[in-house]
Amino acid sequence: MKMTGPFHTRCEQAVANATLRKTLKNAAQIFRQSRAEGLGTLADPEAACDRAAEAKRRSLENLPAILELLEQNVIAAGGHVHWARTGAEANRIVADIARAEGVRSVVKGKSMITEETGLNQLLKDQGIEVNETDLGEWIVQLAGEKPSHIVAPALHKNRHEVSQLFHEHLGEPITDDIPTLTLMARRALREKFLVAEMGITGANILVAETGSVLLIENEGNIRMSTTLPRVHVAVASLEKAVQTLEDAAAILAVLPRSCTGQVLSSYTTVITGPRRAGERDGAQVFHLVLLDNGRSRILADPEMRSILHCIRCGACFNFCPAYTRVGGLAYPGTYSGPMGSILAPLLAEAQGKANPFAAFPYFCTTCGACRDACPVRIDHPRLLMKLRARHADTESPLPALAAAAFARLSASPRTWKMAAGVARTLDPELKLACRMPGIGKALSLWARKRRLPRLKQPFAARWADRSQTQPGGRA
Amino acid sequence: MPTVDLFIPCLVDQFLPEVAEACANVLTRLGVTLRLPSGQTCCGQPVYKAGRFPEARDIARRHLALFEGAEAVVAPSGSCVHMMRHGYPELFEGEPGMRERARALGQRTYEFCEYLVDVLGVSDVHANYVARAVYHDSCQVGRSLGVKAQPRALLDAVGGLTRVELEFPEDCCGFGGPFAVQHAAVSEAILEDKIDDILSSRADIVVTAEPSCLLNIRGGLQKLKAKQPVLHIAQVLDSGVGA
Amino acid sequence: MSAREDILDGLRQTLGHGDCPDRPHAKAKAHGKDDWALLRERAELRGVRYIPAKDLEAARGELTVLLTELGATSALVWEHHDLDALGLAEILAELKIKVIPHDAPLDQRAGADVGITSSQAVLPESGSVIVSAGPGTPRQTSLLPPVHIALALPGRAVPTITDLPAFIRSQVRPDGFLPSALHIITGPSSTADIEKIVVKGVHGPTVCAMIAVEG
Repeated sequence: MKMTGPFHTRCEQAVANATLRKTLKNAAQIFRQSRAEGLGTLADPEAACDRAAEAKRRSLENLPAILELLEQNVIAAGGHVHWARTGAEANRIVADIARAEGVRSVVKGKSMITEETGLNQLLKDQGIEVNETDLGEWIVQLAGEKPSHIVAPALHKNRHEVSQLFHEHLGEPITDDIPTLTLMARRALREKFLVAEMGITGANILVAETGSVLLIENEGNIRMSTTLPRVHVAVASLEKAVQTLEDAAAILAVLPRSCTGQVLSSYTTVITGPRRAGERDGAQVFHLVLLDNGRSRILADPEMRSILHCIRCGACFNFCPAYTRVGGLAYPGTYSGPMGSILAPLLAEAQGKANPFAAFPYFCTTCGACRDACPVRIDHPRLLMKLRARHADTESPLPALAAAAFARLSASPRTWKMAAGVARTLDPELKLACRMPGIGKALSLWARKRRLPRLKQPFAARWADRSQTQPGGRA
Repeated sequence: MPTVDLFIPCLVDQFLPEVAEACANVLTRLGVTLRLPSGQTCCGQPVYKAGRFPEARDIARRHLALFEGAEAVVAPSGSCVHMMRHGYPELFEGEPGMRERARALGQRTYEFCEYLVDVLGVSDVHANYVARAVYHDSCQVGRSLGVKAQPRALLDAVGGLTRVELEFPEDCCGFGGPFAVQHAAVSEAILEDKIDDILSSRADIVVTAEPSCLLNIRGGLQKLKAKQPVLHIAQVLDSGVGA
Repeated sequence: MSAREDILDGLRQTLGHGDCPDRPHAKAKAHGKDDWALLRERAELRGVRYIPAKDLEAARGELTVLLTELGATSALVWEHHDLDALGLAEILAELKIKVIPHDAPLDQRAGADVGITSSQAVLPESGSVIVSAGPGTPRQTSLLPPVHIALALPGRAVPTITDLPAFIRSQVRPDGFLPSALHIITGPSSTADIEKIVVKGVHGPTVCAMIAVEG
């Protein structure tokens, strides 16, 4: 049975880490409560989510035309548009812009897409200083870790761990006061904003109608990154584009509410091209990099297309019983949680690479809480089940032969009854069964923390007696 | 008089036959004529959940045929009903004929509580059971089938029963089919949190409408030598009637 | 083939033009309050210091009190007719608050005590002010200093998020384009990245104040 491997081991280690579990549980609970409050400010949250889902669906269906319109309008507003088939191409484009503009240091807003492409490393190799400026991203950058949650990158760290990092890397005194720690970050990063020549952001929504990039944040680091440096580069995957402001508003009506419970985050910014003549701040040069990296293949698969509805709100993470026990660092790669369990294996396949994420769809209890929480109607369990079927041969805990044997057995009720009868007679408490090959391992694992059930005389066998006599009550 | 074909899931048949009995008793008492299609074995859910779709289809074809003649099918398991209602049309997406047959049958296949309240229109079965009880919303019953109010209405009508809510009644218990053994440590951690919630509630009994959750939670509580029994709702509804 | 053609061709093979009916927009809860009352409620929920004033004269008074309380000695300000009408220059002169010019060195601008702007609109559903970049109205004014004070004048409410598209379109300038940046500001800068504990004033202002001329 497929029950081992590095991912498996990391999950086991994570679950044994009591501090991590407590931190994750607390954070997830707060996120869930906030989301409920946020959606509660809508007259009809279900209708709002339906509307947002439809905006995404229609945008995906019309994507080629929308992207062309977007390009046209970004250029008209004075920006530049680049297209990248792969993450490597996107990184090269950004690095080339940096070189051409004589960039020595960069400030970055939180951008999962640049995590996906591994942009930071390429820039660093080019001798460019890369400063993550979102507090959570900066914390994990200092720790040499990847973000563990798409919305709260340092979700897995408690205040003591953060203080230790600041002490080691900034020489700051140890404290357990979170406002003080935050002030340390403000001071340290303010210096970086003031000198960086280039700001790199992602994009929450790309609006084709106006050629705009819509950016959502609470801290102000994205505003800083798009206001002070001379160059602004926005990197975004294709599916971020919508045609109209109405579609953007439909998404905006549910995204912050689902994410943090806020009606709107502290700063909702609409950037359209570089600064205009007569303006004293804002980037003087604006580049938009549109990244495919496997999305066009996923779009071509009508069964899986809906994963690209994802607006990166993070709600599914906070409801997932599996994710919230282990955190994002247990998963390899960029994306974790329910959306990542679908997107990561699909992207790897679409990119024609080896798929180290094929196990993800099996790391799921199919509880469906993710689907219920999703503001753009992604049916995660349905997609995960399809992925399970696609990868059963390498990832299923049930070998094909065993599945076939079970199917044969269940097609033969007499044999089924006989086998159950034998087991019930010889081994009603499943003690011997625990030692059998195959099924024994499963039963032994189950029995680690649970008492095994006992085989009993089946209901079907008692049915004949029932028909003779009626149990009490009305006839 | 309505007629119901009983669908007794394999877990119930082999490990919890008393749940099937309780189900049958409650339905009979309410004037339902029961049939038990013979030759039932499994609906295919474990194989489906393990990603083995071709084998799951074989099992599903046979199971469907067994029940197709039914006026209504009732099972004491949300996950098995969900399998028939949603899993079967999924499995037969590529076979329009089978898919239609599956959809049609799914529309008259009910989870036990759902059948009592939504079809028979009954929420008081005149049962009595003195205890402080918590109800665990199994994912497949509550979330997947949307059956949350019905079990509560049924329990609230039981004489002597005081029902309190868990802090997180809808949180998964961690079973998840193959997940329970494929990712045993994480499954155990999820179960641990559910048990903590149960113990904090000071409930005397735990009630659920899903056999797999029942075996999971009961197994966990028993291992801890906790005293609280875990019952299927059918058993509570079959208690102390006419007392 | 260029990357652009590669990508677009690939998409065109499987995607086309779908026809779907437009749906009614998501409505916020009917609140039964007037715009100002809802704006105030939602803004204060987000930690905005909301200061009502019945007219410009009263607003002048409130601003004076606020600046005195803050002990501000320097300010970044918008060059804007709303602030002229308010008599901002006189207020600052009287309080001896130094106006840092827009072309001063960056560290001087970053060292200002307060940033004072007007606003293009307010968004009651979220409790926000909306500010646009332009000549004379730099983005930094509402970003760099630790305190941002926004003047909100009557008749400029964008009631809900679903009213935003029409408002944004109304912001298209004579050159046919939107402002280079439009910011919907909802309270001070904040984060909850450490243990989900909310802290204000991470990179942007710690204090966000709105002087609302409610009329």
